Amino acid sequence: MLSLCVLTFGGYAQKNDLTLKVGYGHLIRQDLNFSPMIHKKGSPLNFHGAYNHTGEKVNHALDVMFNIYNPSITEPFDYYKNTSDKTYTTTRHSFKQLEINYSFDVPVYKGDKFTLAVGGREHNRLFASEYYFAETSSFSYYFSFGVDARLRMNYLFNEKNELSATLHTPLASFNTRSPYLGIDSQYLEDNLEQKGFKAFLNYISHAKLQSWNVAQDLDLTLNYKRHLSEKFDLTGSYFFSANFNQSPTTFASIQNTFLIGAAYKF
Amino acid sequence: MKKSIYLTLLISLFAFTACKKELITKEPTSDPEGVFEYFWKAFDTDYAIFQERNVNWQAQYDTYRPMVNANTTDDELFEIFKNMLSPLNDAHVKLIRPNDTLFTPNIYYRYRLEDDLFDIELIKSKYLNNVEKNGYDFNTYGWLENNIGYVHTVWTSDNWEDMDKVLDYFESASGLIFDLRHNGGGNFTAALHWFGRFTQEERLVFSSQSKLGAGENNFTDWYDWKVTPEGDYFDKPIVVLTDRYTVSAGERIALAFQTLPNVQIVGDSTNGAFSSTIPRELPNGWNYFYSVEKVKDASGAFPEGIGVLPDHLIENTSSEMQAGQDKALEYALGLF
Repeated sequence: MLSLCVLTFGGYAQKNDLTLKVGYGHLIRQDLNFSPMIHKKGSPLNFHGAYNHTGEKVNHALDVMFNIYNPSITEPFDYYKNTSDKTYTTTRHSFKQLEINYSFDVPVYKGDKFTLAVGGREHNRLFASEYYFAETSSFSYYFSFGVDARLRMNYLFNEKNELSATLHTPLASFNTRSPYLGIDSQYLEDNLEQKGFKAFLNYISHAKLQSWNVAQDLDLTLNYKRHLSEKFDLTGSYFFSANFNQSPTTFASIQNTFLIGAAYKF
Repeated sequence: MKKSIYLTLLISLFAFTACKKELITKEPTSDPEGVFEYFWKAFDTDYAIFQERNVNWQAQYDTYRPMVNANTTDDELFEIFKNMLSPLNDAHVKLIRPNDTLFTPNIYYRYRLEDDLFDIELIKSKYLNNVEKNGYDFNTYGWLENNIGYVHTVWTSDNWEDMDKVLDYFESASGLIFDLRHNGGGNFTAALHWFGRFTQEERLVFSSQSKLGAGENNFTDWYDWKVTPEGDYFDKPIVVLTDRYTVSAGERIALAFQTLPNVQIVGDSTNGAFSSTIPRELPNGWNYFYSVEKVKDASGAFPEGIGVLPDHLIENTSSEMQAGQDKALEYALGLF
């Protein structure tokens, strides 16, 4: 998904860059394990950091993406209990998404202005969410580890301006999701020792190889870059990500994100 | 090479859009009839214990569906739902709407029946010496007469992390009263993890299975929950106190204690809500909870709706409590 590879490959002499971007995103998600409703929310909490290396023949990138969304189908409301004089207030859901990806590609066509590269990506996608309902919450996880096909196109308008488009589609993914309704005996057993990281590893241990028949992903990134100096570029990105999964129930996530930031070249 | 790249891209996009499965499911509507239909169906699909609760859910639909139409108000719909849920008498079923009081069909919690038959302040002031607290202040413990230890747990959850310290504290005790009365439950897995000092051998304490979707018998396989010895065995007689407000994870721990040869249970039956419960939202924004798991005890019996039955049925009365007497506790003390 979050592969916003802000590639500086192709046009400039620098071999490495570090990029940091922040921006606004909009998420649409439906997870029938937890709700029949389609949750929609915008959020300014979208962060992307990347390290890119342009090699003689092969380009490499490491991306870290993180975002938080807090949707709710209604505004939080007050309610009461007959056991207490307190006023209780409901809470918005909390969706956290972290992705750490390594990708590489090899230019297969280089023109004066246009570059086409193909390669692969190893993705590590962690969706961890709390669905808050009244006095408690249900924890949701969807972790995906896999290999994607990667296609990148760069177009150099002139010496200062460059546009790139990057597409990722999965080749093979090991996925693990919360069980049906978000709870079963195995899930409870996974939490038996009450250790957060141990439970996390337990969830991962249930990951299964899933085909396109069960899981469908697509990432598309458009990135504009303006060359400011020998050391810095200004970047702006549009990122589209679609994730669907049908095991054990429907999971659908569509994310649109606009990011701006800068790249430090060295 | 160029052609093959375009072909790969084309195939990928085709596969993505041609997927036969429904990628996004249509939401239920938020009008009264849509909310009713969704709510009834959610229970019909995933509520695990209609049989144990002796409720014909289809009959509830036939009774209450005709009462709902497009003009039904929120107040009317809430009342209809309350009436439809009431026969479940399940403390794990709850319905919450804005600016109203949480509804549960369980008669004890709904009407606060027998809520006054336990008072930790009375125990602290009249019966306990050297009162201590740990487990995020959810464990209260101290000494009773005749060198008997006493511990009360408000919840069954992370507070069990400190149970080891409580047992060390009572190393020289002649016995222990473990008070589960008014234990509101929580997360039984935490308690089971710290249960090892109470047993000398691995023991099956209960089994559970979870709903897997529509269908009366659509469940996971039975999952056996066991406790295993860990640490220094607490080799002393134990009396467990229970009441109608010992609920959920509190009851699961009562089931675990019930399997131990050195334990007697005193008091009233527990609430009878053993299932795991999950919270959800309705299309109109209301929240609800329901039970999605079956539980059977170590003997294979189904305690849902019944509770853990005490070895010694001792029920406190309001008048005794007002007079400052905890009869069940005193009876338990007499067993040592």
